[in-house]
Amino acid sequence: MKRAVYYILLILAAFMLQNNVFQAIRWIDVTPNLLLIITFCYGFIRGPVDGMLIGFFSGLLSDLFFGTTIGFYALVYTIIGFTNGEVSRIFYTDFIDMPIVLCLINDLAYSLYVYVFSFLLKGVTNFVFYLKGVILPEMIYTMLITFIVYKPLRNLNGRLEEREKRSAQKFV
Amino acid sequence: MNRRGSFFQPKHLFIALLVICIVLIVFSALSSKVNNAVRSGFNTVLMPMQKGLNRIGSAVSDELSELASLREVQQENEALKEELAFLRQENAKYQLQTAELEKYRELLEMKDQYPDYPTIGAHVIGENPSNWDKTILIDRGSNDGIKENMNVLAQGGLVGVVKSVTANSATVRLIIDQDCQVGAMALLTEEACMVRGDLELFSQGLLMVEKMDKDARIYEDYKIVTSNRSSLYLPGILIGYVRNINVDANSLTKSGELVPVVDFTHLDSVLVITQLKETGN
Repeated sequence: MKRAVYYILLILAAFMLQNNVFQAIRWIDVTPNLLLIITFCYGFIRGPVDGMLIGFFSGLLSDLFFGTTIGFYALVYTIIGFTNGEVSRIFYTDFIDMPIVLCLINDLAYSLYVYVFSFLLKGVTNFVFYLKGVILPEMIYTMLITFIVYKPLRNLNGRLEEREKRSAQKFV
Repeated sequence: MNRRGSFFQPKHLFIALLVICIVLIVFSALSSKVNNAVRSGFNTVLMPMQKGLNRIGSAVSDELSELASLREVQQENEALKEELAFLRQENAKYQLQTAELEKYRELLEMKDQYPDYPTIGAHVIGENPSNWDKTILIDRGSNDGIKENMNVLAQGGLVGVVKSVTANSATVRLIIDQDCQVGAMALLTEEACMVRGDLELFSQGLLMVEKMDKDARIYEDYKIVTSNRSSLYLPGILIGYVRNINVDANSLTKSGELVPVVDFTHLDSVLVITQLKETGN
């Protein structure tokens, strides 16, 4: 229960920060993808169920506020959350390098998804421009933010897990 | 990780969520009514938070730019003081001339630059966080009389069109969005053309003007305004100035670049025209 509230607050905070505060301090002309960060981080730390639920609601939130078709972003975030969860089952490490690598792959996959479905299919074929102008800057910015927030996110999760364990013991 | 018993598998939940997403996509693609109804509910809850945070966002960016420019401002201040003395003198002279001009204007019965469309002011309270779409959120909705397809202006030029409306907010698609096409014409010669958003050109602050006839009398620096023939946009709204016109590869049409009059990177408040275009449908 506490965990659900924590997730909801986290998603809302990330969403609001992304389209307000970070919009105001746009750097290299893009905004970092905070929703993507919390989706894959918790997918990686907690497993596929948490990852895809966070992803689903994050995506839904973006859809409801700004998207043209509801479900477009929800779909890609859900897939990313689930996939990262599955990756962590196979291979988990506490080092910071892994989330950074995951971040790059995830953001690239996300960007390609958006490019293919809302640009390429409408006949916009100039991929190199979008790669240089949007995709790469977003990847770099998102990676930097991941570097900063990954440890705090993991620590918050650790504290939450401890508390859950304690309350479980009380029942026994 | 599998703490909830063997009957429950993440795979099943994953498939369920995927199905929900696809159903949502199909439904919202089919009907914009479903789209707006769902949105309205969510926005009513989140709008107050959004507004508050937007204020924080602006405050942060203001603070940052203030710090950076403090030294510059001090130097500038010195220079400006000198200039001020000079300008005061000039000002007196111009005031006389303005009064004179006012008289001539009345004589000529010059019309306003714009036909008198009824408008309503709104604040921009959010920009699309995605780096791909160009839409903004404004703080007026159906409660203030905003409807879908209403035209939006700012700084004396066309900004975009209302795409969806909730009770207290509306989403505006900017004309720089890749999906946006505006039927337009040259103000002087009334030759038709199309203004289209293009993210690549917009990185240089420009839009695209296309589908002009090869022999159309549209030349460099002509004013481009919305056309009578456009189905969405009211006629006579200024969009910008055309330049770099070249004949296309098909040698039937020509196209060029458009310098918009609106500064899309610093949209703060906008005007919504509450009159809808009569299309006869």
